[in-house]
Amino acid sequence: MTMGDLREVLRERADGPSPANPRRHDEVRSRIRGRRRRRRAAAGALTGVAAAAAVVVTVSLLPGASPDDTTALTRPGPSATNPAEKGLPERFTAPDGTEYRRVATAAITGEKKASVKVPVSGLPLEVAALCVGDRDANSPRVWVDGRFGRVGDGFGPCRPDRELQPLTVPEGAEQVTVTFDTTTSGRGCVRKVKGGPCLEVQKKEGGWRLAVYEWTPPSRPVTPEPVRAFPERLAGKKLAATATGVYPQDDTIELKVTSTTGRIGFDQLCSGDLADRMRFTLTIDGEKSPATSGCGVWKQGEFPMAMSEHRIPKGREVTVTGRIEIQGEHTNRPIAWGVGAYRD
Amino acid sequence: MADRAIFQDFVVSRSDRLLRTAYLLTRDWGTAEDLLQESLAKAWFAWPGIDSPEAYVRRVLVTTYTSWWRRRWRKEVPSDDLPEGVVHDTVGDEEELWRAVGRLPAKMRAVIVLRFYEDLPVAEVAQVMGCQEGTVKSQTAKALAKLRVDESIVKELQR
Repeated sequence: MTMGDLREVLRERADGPSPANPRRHDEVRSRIRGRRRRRRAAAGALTGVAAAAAVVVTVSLLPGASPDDTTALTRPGPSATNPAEKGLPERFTAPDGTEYRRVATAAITGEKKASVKVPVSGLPLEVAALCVGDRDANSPRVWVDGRFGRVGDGFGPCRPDRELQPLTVPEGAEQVTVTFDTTTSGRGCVRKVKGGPCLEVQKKEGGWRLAVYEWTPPSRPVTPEPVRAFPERLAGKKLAATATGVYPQDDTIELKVTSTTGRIGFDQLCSGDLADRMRFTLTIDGEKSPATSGCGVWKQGEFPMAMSEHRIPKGREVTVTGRIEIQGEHTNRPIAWGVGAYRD
Repeated sequence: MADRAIFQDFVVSRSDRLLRTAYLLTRDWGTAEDLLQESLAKAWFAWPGIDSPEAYVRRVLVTTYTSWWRRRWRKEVPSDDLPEGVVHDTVGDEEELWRAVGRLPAKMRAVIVLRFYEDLPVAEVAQVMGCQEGTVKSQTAKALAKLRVDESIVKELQR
């Protein structure tokens, strides 16, 4: 074999059709929010001097720092006494009064797959997960009848709180097979010290409990709390304009912004039980942003910033319009939203 | 210095190439997407202070890959249609070579991908990997030996 052969093999494999992902930017922004949350949690853990033996120390990448990311984790293993064990009841009522009924359950420990048959009654479906174990344990992917399922953003990291994601099934289906999959491929190793041995790192264990729920829409729309006011200053920028509304009645945005430096930023907030399923697509002076954005849910603590920044002509007022959409069903479950525009 | 106003454009217009590099490293499109997104999210925090976004994200991607042996956080892309798999009618030597690349240790595989897919010179690979040029050369030689690739083109190795 020659190096030419090697090059050809690499190109042949990499330059084939790759899965298109028009939502990549939005998904990256979700990760940015997640990293911010983890940093805050890590900072809290580090300031708590009296932390117990199971200490979590996360050294995250700081602005301008080396891209090397060092993470040391020690966490308690799965525990049968964890409150998470109680988190997927047969029935529950969401904070907005929506009634949920469980139609299937599954469980996965480690890297495995589990399938369940789900009757489709026509009511909206959601998949639910909670996890006891290491935060970095693989999260389950969801397949519906053997194809990637439409499940919102997919499940986040292993955590003991119930997480719900909308599940879309093929139209007209009376029953579907939902598969939860935590298997992975690939391997690697890590050096703990420069020049040291490359050690295979232990896999992070997680015990996932999973369920499929159907929910009955409330008989009348449930009014969500209005979103909190945007901070006057954020990331060195000053609040220039805001727009608020309640989806689905209000599903468009219009703002006018001027920036002397030509740089503006946007962030979004939502409230309501389905807040984290909202998607915003912005257009500036007729030019559509190539990606959609989600919105933060700000109940307490720091503002959950994940600002998107844009360039506009310096000193000229631009018109920002936007379209708002939601992932999954939302009948009678409106969401309050707000968009903040910032300028230097 | 990059400003965050171009971050979104960068993700939309420049990340596909990086996804392909990630695929060669991970050999799985889903894991590659995961690795790419994680790298982009990390880079966002450093964005205002970096001069060359693509080089920086590539460096994050490689360092994340070499220190990140498995998935941490999946955020899969919901999709109605799975992409059609690439049909490879090559069996024999080329298939075996591909499999052999997959058996390389993570860092060695990264060197191979950067040198022979990205076509980066030794100095740049060293910068991306955060190591000495001599290390890149030795890793390349060892990798090629494992792959049983003819190393007679010495000049290319030293480039």
